[in-house]
Amino acid sequence: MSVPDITLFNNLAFSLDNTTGLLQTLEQQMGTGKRVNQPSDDPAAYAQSELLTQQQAVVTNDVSMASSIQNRMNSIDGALAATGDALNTAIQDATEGANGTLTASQMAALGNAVGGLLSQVIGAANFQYSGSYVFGGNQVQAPPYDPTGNYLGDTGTNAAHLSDGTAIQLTFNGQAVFGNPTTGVIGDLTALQTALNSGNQAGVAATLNQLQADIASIAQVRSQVGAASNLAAAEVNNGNNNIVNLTSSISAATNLDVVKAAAQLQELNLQEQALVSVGTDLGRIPLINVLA
Amino acid sequence: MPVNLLAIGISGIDAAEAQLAATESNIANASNPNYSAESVTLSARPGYLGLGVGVDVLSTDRAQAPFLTNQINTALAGQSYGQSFGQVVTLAQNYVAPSGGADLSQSLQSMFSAFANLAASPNDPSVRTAAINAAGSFAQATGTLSTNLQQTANDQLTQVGAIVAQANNIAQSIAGLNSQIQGVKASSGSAAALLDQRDALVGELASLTGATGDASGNVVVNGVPLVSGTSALTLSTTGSGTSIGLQVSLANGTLPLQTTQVGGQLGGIFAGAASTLQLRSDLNSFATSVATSINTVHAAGYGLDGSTGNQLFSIPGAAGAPVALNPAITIQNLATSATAAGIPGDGSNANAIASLASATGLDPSFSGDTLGQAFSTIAAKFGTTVNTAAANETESTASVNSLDQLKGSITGVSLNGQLTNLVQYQNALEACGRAVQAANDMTNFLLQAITP
Repeated sequence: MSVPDITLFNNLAFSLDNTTGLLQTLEQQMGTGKRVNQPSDDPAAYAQSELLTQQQAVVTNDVSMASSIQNRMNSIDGALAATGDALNTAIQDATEGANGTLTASQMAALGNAVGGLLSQVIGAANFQYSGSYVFGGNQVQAPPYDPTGNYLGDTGTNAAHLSDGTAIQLTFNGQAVFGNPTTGVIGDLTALQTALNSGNQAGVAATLNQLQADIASIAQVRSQVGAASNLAAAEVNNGNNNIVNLTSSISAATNLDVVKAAAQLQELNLQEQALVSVGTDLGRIPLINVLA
Repeated sequence: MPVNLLAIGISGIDAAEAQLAATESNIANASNPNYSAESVTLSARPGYLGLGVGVDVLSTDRAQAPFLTNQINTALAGQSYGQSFGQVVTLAQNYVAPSGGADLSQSLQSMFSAFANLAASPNDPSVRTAAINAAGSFAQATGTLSTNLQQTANDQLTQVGAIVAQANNIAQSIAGLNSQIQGVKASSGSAAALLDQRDALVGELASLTGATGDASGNVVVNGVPLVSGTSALTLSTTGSGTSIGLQVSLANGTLPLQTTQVGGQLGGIFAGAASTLQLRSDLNSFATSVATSINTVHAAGYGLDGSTGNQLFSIPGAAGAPVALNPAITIQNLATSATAAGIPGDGSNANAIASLASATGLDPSFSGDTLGQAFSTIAAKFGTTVNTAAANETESTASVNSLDQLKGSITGVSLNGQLTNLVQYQNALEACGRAVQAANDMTNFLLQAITP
């Protein structure tokens, strides 16, 4: 078969174009460190990395939310702890008032002190986090308790939902936690205050068991809040681990195998050099030299 | 038996000179890609009793490979198609999946994250504002993407007019060459160079339009004539923008040429623009599905002001048009609560919107995918289109190269071969010269012998 000279040069140009194109692609990939920059680079890998990236964004938001929830729960626990402290002080006052050694004026003084504890508890029940009231159910924009301990909130609750289906309660029905002037913590402190102010030793003694039950009740709510805080902390930890794993998976799907790429680069450089060398030889036509 | 020795020798010199001329022309055109090697066809002059009386130059012919020429034209059309198609869809891909930049799925995800945050803090003005802004960003991203894809298609289609004009010029040149070739052939001259020129122009027209030619110089595009003998028909455009079309003017009217029937660069542009517009339509439909799903949930909820039935997005009536954020949405009527009684602390409706991120079956066309997966599928599918276009272009280029090699082995110029011919024809010329000299010497000898 006759091989025209122009074909030889065209072949050389074609081969050099191909090699240069491959080199350019490889250098671009090495420059970015990524094998898949756009869908056309590897549609399946791109789709996979897209889903992983979306998942990573979801988990990142979960971590941020869970972290915020953890802080929220810690703050709520502080308010509940203050309530527990107030109840313990109230029990001491009730014990003192019930032992029959105090005068009426001394009991009235204790009644005043309990009134302070009651205000303290109502203050805790009106606790706000980031500008929202926590113990008003869904009524988060106004204080759920008035100064006399009447509940103004509702029975609703709101929760944060994480992408794995975990729901963490964020607001509480305050009446179930703190009661009102006739029931629960506020009701028992009100009753104690009334009994102390009126010098009613039997009435004072009658509140002791109720106050003990209130402490247990607050402790139970605190344990729920603590569990929620722990759950949020676990979500933060798991989420951070997931982010690391997802980052790794995204890298595996899209990143360049640098060692392999370096070997390929060397091979292509050699190929290009060989082609240039062939081109140099193509310039010499033996017969012309012979005829000359 | 009278034999004209001098005439025999001179005929040999003529033949050798013709062969040398053809060889020199071949050497001179060795680097001309549109040149076909020429050769001289000789014929022995009939003599008496089987004795030759010289040689005649019958014609100078070019080497031909008509089948391969047509194959190359087809491959050239495929290569041009692949190049122009690839350029258009690559531009479109840059908008769908900007390299290293944020794509639509990120604004989608940010929106759902904003609603997840809103569910936890439904009465927080800053969180409500962030959710509205995120929804607005998603709508804006879809609108910008839609506009950019439309613009990409429009920009590419604006080239059509210039390519059509170029194709018409080439068609006229081919028709002119057909006329010249007919004239040369009628006068028994060599049309080799003209045929080479015509082949080259048919190749150019194939690259531009996917046209094919025949041995008579007629050129058609998918059966519609562009050159018929010595007449060129006029290709022209109809409509404008993305509605641009083609037609061929005939003597008795016009013949529409479907854009899908055109190949080459022109066909690639039309197909690339069509793919880009289809992508735009798919993405707009996707955005409409997202907006519709969210609107349904949002309308069922209650805003801080107690209002209900509000749409978060405005969905245009025209199918495939981009969605927009409802301008009437405020932080007050953004529906975060599932019930009127739950206002303002209930975020369950915001959570229901956020949950759409992981919901499947929201649109029958998504076949069990989540919204995020649906977008990934659209982007990856288009990536496959771009990837396939690049592979096809590479394959066509390799085909052109391979077919060129095959054709070159038949019609190309090998300098080594031509230099060998040069030596051979020089020797023949020299030998014929000596024969003439010998005949001359004989004549002189005879003249001297009979001279008294």
